[in-house]
Amino acid sequence: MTQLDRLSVYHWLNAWCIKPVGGALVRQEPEYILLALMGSPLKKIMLCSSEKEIFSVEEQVMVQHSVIINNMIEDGSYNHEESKIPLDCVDSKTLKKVIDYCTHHTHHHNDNQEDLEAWDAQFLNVDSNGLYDLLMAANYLEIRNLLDLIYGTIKNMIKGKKIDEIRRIFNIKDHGFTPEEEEQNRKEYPHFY
Amino acid sequence: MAFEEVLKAVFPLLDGADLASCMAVSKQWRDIASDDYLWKCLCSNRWPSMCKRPNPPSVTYYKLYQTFCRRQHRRTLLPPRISFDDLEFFIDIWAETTLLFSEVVPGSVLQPGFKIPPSGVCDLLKFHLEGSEYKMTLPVEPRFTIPAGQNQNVSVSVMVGRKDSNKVARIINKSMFDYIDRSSYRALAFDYLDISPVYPFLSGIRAWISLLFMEDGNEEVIDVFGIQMDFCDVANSKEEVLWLLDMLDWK
Repeated sequence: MTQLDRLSVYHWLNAWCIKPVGGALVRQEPEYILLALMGSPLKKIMLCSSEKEIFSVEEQVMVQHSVIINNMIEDGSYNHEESKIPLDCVDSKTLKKVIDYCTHHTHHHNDNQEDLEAWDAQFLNVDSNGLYDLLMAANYLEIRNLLDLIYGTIKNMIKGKKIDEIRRIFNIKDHGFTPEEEEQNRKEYPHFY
Repeated sequence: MAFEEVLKAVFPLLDGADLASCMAVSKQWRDIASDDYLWKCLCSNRWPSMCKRPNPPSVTYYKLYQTFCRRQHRRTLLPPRISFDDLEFFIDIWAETTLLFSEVVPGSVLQPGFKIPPSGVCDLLKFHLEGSEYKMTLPVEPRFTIPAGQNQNVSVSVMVGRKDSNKVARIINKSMFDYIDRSSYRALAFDYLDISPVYPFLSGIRAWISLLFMEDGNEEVIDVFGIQMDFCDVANSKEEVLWLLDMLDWK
């Protein structure tokens, strides 16, 4: 068993895992099946938020999404027995969300595009501070698809909006133009106001 | 990661209109959005050939994009180079060989409409005089009359002189008042303008001159109270008329 690729076994089991039936939470996590079969748990890693809260998450999930964590595991700087990865610039709330994103995308990577997009849209239904925090975390951890997702969302916050709306959405209280410059703006882009 | 870097990552995803909006959102946004590389990318999507040279065809790719991708605004006319004060009109009206009217009319006297038409003017004509198209009007005091038998052969000539260069141009050579509109009491004549060779390809622009006459019962006589001139083919405002006059073949 140790020679088998753990990840592919994981996915195989995932495909066969028992789904919830009739509201009852009858669910066999693949790792428990594996535990039962192999007697050893799937590797988990510990992430520590800036608030010193520890989150346990499957290694494979984080390795798939975060370049930073992947590098740490590969170059051996992470010791499974004792270490935790300190993420001092990510607070608990954000870290939980990031883990949520990575976990969902690993578990559901076979879902169809529409369902994934719908989940992503729901996932990003946060206020602008939350969005910003997520962006910082995704940048720090180098989670490319989450970064692209958030950039796309910000792009949509700008797309097709009038200038006054953009200022409101991004909470720009002082635009920094002189009155003459602002008037020039209005003349040059009349249909954007 | 500063917010600036976020913008730097998002701006390349925007299209031209949205990026142009960003230029006006705030000074910080403008500094980032005016990176010509962003505009070069937009230009290369729109006109790939224009990005093949190392340098942009116009000063910046931003300027190139803005100039040619903007919505078409109504082209505004530059201010005319002459004013009516610089002009005088030489108007001569004949019935056969008899001179009915011969005056030098300073440009400033011509107005775009009668302030108070004399009584006896028909309503349709009054309505026309109040119309929005720009027509230069000259009240005729004292009024002259055209005897009935001769109103087939009334002709007009109009020349114009300008004080700034002491040159003269022709507006109407010698045209007959062929068309008499009895319902609105106007007799009309026209001629094609000679435009200066500096502006080639312009032909077929007419000057119209109308004699405005009174509505009285007498069909025998045409009682002219005003003369009107317009260039309604192309010029319908004071500025447009002045430009057109400036473009005549002045000699």
